[in-house]
Amino acid sequence: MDVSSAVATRVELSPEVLRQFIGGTGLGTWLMLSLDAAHCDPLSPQAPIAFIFSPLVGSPLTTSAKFAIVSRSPLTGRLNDSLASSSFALAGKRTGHDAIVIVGRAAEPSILVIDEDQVSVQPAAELWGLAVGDADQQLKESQPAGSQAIVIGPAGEKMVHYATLSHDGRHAGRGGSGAVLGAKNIKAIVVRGDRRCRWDQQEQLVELARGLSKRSLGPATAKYRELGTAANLVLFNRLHALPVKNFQQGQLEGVEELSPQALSSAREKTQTSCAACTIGCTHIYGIRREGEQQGTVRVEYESLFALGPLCGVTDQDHVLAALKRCDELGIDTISTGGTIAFAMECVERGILDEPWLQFGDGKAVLEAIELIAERRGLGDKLAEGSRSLANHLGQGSIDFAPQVKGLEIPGYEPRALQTMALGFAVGSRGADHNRSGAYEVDFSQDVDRRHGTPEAARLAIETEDRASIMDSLILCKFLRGALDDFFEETAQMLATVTGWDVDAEELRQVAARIATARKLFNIHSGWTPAEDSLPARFLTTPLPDDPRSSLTADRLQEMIRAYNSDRGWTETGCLTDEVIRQHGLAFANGE
Amino acid sequence: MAGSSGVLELVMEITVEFFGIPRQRVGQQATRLSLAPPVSLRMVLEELAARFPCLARDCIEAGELQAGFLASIDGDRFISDPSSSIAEGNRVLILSADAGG
Repeated sequence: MDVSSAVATRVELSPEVLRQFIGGTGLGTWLMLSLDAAHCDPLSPQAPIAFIFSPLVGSPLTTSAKFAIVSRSPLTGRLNDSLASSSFALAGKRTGHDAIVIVGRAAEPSILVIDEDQVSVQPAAELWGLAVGDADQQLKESQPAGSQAIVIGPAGEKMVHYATLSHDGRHAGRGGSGAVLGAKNIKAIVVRGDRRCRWDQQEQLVELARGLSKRSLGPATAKYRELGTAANLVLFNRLHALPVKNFQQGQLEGVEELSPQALSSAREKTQTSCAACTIGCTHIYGIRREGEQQGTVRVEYESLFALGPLCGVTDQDHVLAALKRCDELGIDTISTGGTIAFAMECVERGILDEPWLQFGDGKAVLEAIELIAERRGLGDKLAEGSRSLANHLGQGSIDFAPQVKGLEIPGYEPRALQTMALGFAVGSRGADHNRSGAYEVDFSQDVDRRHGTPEAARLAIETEDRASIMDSLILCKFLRGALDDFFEETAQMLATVTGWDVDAEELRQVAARIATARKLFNIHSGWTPAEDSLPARFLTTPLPDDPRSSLTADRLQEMIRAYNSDRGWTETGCLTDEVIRQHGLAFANGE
Repeated sequence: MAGSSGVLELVMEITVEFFGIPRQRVGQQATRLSLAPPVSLRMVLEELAARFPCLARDCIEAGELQAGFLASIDGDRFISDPSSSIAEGNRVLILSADAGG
């Protein structure tokens, strides 16, 4: 869809491509390679952004109502994908498309409406400036029944480099896809349709779905269902693995105040599920401002750590209010918290003259969030992330800017969880806990979490490959613990839906192909081996409050070399022509 | 320690900390166990199961942790093998295994 001219073109995807890349982030990677997005400024009209559904969307398999958004990231300059669960995925699939790709720039603030084969760009000045929830609500009221919309907030309109896309309280959070859509003058995409999916083996699918739903209610998902991901906070604090005050500590006094138990006892709580999900991980808490009840907010570990302990804040009211504002304005909570915490340390060190911005000051965090979304004053610099701010400030601040490839580090202290440190360093979209589950390796008896080894690289790859398949099928990662034989069972799901004779080995090959395709995209966009690292802080300074958590550049490099070799790449992470051809990716090099 | 028979009985004091679902079930952050050495993870789990039936129902089965749960010695080493040794003064953490956020 070219929103400059409002001309849409329908393109058939070959069965070979669909089988090689499945859907979701896999198919999105193929699309970005095919469209040569690596050579486009992500905020230019030429830059493509793809919304991709998947083979499992619309099926009765629990947690499959998800979609992926893929583009080049304005925050990192590398490949970015983000996922969200929602009815948007179901309605999008009913338009009859596997993916919607948008290029161009509308002449005025607009919405894109896709009603099966009817596509239009409609002026929407009245929506411009509205918070995410308000825009979503107005579209619900103004569009025909059955419509679902994904929207950007004011931050996306201002092209904040980590702006999100949102629908129904869920957010495709990381890497700034909201800014890419904002740059196209598109406030929202509305989809509706009546096309029904046909499943190859209907009866078997129903049986499979029934069994999966039953398992999704078992002990492997109990934590998500009963406590939510926020339960991680207290455990990580105990292990000195909780990033505190811009990664200057691994523990913070008073953090129990933010535990699910403390939140539940202090305020109203409700629980809900994403569309077509039986796990029900969404924990929603009441918000108070100056003692008054002021709405509700969904609480997740990553948001809680980033806007709480990372900024030195443990006060419930301020942290939950900060979460809520990020959701309303449409900005990624991890990058927001990471960038603010970095700025706070710069103030502490005398590098940045903004004395109001101090660790532990929840009001200052709230003020900084407003500045970011409006790109006002200091907010204009904060809006481009911690790497950009460090490059602006200089004075060695890049050494403690909490990012990899420009993407702020999520809530896992790399010195205390060193397989995760590897996962962050080599992550194709930057420091990432969703595309690499390497923390699972650290939380096992296979490794010493404080002493990473090259042998752990293979285990880290295994977690990346599982994530890659889940993000391409698409299934929620919270389901992974309920699967006994991951590749066998996911292959069976895909075979049942599509009729393909796909098996576990083929899915392993698909995962390896997608990893290589992502690397190829990054190479095209300017990646160099030096990007696969961590900020100097993590490689030169033991964790101050747990000095046994110490990582060196040599040890990390040894792990990275092992990772690259195990992937079949060169030791530095480059791709040979042979590897590119072996994975069927030569088309991206013009062959 | 002298028992009722007057024979010296050795016991080890073990502190167990709960996180995630185990804490939710037990309703407390930690407990102390007195066990006769040598102490294994299995002995700790059996004692916990006897003391907290809710753990026996949801987290521990026949002296082993159910899938989805994990133990750690002092927050350093993660273990699931029930024969793992526990030493005097160790703190045993019982937690929900899945750390993803």
